[in-house]
Amino acid sequence: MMQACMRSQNVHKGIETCLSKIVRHLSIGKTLQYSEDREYRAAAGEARSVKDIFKEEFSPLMKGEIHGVESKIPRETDILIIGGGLVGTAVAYFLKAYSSALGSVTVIERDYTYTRASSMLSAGGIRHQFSVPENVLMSKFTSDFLKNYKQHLSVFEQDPPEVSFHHQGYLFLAPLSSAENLENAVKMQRSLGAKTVLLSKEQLAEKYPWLNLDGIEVGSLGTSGEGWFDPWQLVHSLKAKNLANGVRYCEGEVIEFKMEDVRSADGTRKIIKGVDVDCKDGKHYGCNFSCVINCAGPWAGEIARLAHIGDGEQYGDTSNFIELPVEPRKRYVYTFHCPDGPTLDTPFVIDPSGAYFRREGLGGHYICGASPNDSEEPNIEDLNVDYDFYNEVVWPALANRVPAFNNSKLKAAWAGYYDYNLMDQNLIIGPHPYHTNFLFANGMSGHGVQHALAIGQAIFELIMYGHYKTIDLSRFSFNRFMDDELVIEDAIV
Amino acid sequence: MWFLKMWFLITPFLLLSYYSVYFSSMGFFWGLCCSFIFFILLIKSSVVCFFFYVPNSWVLMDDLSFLMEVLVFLVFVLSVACSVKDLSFPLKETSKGLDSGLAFISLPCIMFFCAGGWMPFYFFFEFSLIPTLWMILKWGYQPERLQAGMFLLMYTAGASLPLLMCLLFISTVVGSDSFILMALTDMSHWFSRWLLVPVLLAFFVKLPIYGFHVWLPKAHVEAPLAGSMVLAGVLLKLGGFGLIRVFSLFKMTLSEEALLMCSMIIWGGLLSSLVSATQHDIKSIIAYSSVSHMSLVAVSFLSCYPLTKLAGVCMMFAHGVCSPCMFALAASSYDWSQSRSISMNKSVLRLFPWFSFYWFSFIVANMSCPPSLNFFSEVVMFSSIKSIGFVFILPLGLLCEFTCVYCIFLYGFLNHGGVSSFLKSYPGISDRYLMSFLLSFLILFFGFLGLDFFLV
Repeated sequence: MMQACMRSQNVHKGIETCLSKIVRHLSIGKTLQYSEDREYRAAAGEARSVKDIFKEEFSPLMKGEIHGVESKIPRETDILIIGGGLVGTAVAYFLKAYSSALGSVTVIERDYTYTRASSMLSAGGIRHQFSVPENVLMSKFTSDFLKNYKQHLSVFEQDPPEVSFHHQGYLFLAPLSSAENLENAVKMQRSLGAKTVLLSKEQLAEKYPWLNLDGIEVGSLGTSGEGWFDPWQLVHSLKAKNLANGVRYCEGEVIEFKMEDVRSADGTRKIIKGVDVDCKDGKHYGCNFSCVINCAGPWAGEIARLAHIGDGEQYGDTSNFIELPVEPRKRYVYTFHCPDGPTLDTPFVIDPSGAYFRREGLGGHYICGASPNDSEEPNIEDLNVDYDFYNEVVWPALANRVPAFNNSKLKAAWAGYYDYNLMDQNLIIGPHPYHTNFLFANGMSGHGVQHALAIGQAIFELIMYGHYKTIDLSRFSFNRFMDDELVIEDAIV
Repeated sequence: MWFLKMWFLITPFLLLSYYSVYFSSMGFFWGLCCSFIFFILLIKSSVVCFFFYVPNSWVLMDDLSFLMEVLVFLVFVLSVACSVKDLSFPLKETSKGLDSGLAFISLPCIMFFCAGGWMPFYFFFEFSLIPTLWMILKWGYQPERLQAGMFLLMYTAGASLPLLMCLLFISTVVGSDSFILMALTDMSHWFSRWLLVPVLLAFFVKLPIYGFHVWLPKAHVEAPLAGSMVLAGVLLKLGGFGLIRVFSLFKMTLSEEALLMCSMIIWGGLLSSLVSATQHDIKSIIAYSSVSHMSLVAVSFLSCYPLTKLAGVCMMFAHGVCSPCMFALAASSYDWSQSRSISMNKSVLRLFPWFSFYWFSFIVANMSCPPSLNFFSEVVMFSSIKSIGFVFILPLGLLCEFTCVYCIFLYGFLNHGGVSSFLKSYPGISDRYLMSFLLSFLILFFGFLGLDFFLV
């Protein structure tokens, strides 16, 4: 417990320095301090002026303005989802797909063009090869869903959905030192139903003659269900289905969480009652909710801080001392062209050095990248690409592994954010122990796209049944930071 | 029996004055009004043997009026006790006006029930709309702008314009608007029986009857708790009371138009109970159940038989006590989980057994389980309605069955189910709040002892 506290304090300091930068630089053009004279629209249950209501009702008649019937942000909703990326949309999908009678679901997204959304900037890969069993199961869930996505996501009288799933396995290469770990991982994955095979050096040489196997002992290949897809298309297919099911999408930025003091025999506690949303039309809207799900991706830490997570309250045996340890980390993806590189049967190769590449299309293009060391983390202020990183880190590793890549040319590159979990780079899901109506779905650290659907199903089960049914994700609860039971994943890309 | 009646008369006034003094100056004024009425009634010593009291041509008090007045006081006291959170003693700035809004709704209802002529009758019938609308708009939960209020206003006002025309016509025929003179006048050769239909329309919309009921679920879902309680407990009974007055004074007989209306109303009640079973909003379920109960009330008055009239009045009273309590419980659930959805409020039985007990008792009363007042009224109603048309047994039986369906559906979803990991902690319900339900519980489950009280 002490260690957890100390660690959390270090994390605290780390977060503070990083995120103070975020606060200053990262918000899209708006400051977090809003001006007091913006008009406020009351949330449900608060008294409003009847005269103003009538004035607004008859203003189209008097002034010739046109108002929509619906207000920009609903005054109250049962479930509020902050963030309209893949995770938020998937959560909304599973909530409403079961029954549109669950209640009202609202998704708040601050940028409909998704210019910085990690979902859209992702390479979109899906693999079953993890060392944590729950991660394997979540990816399998996504694969199964994507197998039948047309059935799940078709909307009556609209064009059929698309996700552009390319079936190709992942190939993890391991030197002698980590060969045993890889073997155990493959065994575990196979026991869970993932079709991963372990390939010896000879088999690798036979299968992939273009691969340089110096220092490689074994490799694990996923033979079914792995590949990559277009997350942009998946988000839009899910969104179309959500809109057909009655999910309400709103454009606005959450700027404040409204709390309420509640007294009971055990003492006073705060509960989260609603949010203040800043809208482009210049007004603030109050929105009360029963339950809020944080799907803000890399900016989840910001949202959690707005929700007073980590403020230090205590109630009974629940406490609120730890902040959400999620922050954005920039990762680059480079596209290069190699005229005589490996062709159709190229798996998604992951080098022991951390560099990876995969085939893109059929014209000799490849995309690649690597995770930098902790000391070399790039600046998260903007999405500019660092080409030196490619020249100094990524390309040498890949050229070493695939000699054909010596004759390659960098074509393009882009950057995106990981929602990086500082503690153990794994999912944080479930309710906060003190603010029990604040649910997390954060910290996937690069696996968000392949786990989003499983996370959506898990959140739905939490809300509907009170416990997990399909995949038991209780190991990933927020409480693990206080109980010091971190879940470490070995196979991080 | 006179002793019981005396007790029934005094207690609500005392309760009301007690609560009012604590809460606001408006409440004090309200308590004053009630004491004034009480005093007037006391002056005429007919309070002891109470049958038909007419101090002047505009005020009339008979057994039915008296019963309805008692109901209004009861519901007002209940709604004040249950919206203590909104009123928050000492009064906060934001709750300013809720108590006076409540008083302004209840005052025209009181005057309506003791109206002795068509003028005050119609005036207070319409006037009760305005404070209701104001309450819904100011403290309501509406997502969009004026929808619920517009529906409420347009439906009720629109349907009562024909009523006004007919009343004016009748007044010119009779020469006065007094009920007594109207009862003594033979109007049959001035206009046909079918003039009754537009007159009844206003009350059918108010009751409401399926077909004109659309405003009620909207108004209930969006109204604040106190508004919902008064709406369900009292405002719907304005329609029922108007129906009785019209029938008795028009000397209605069971005729073709009455049978036609009976069949449509019963069928509407059945449909409404079916719709109720498909709702996901707790308040919506209770609102549609009001529609189906009120359709039974309307049919019982249309059947022109004294025993059914007893059943109808009893059902009105029982529903007027049970429904506001259910709305108060729903509002408590909303306070707990911030949601009115039936899927988000779960496992009440495991977490708060006392709260669950009250849910159980009122749901069970709602589905007419013995020994509640609803049960007696429903049994008497069914056995009398079969005498006007045996074919009504089928839809009535189905209505009864589907009432049970949605009641058990509501109880099951609310009380059972997995404990939501995110809804564990609760601030606590005050004892005073729970005790207010005890009064209604006693009335509902021991009221059958005074069943002859409803033989108005």
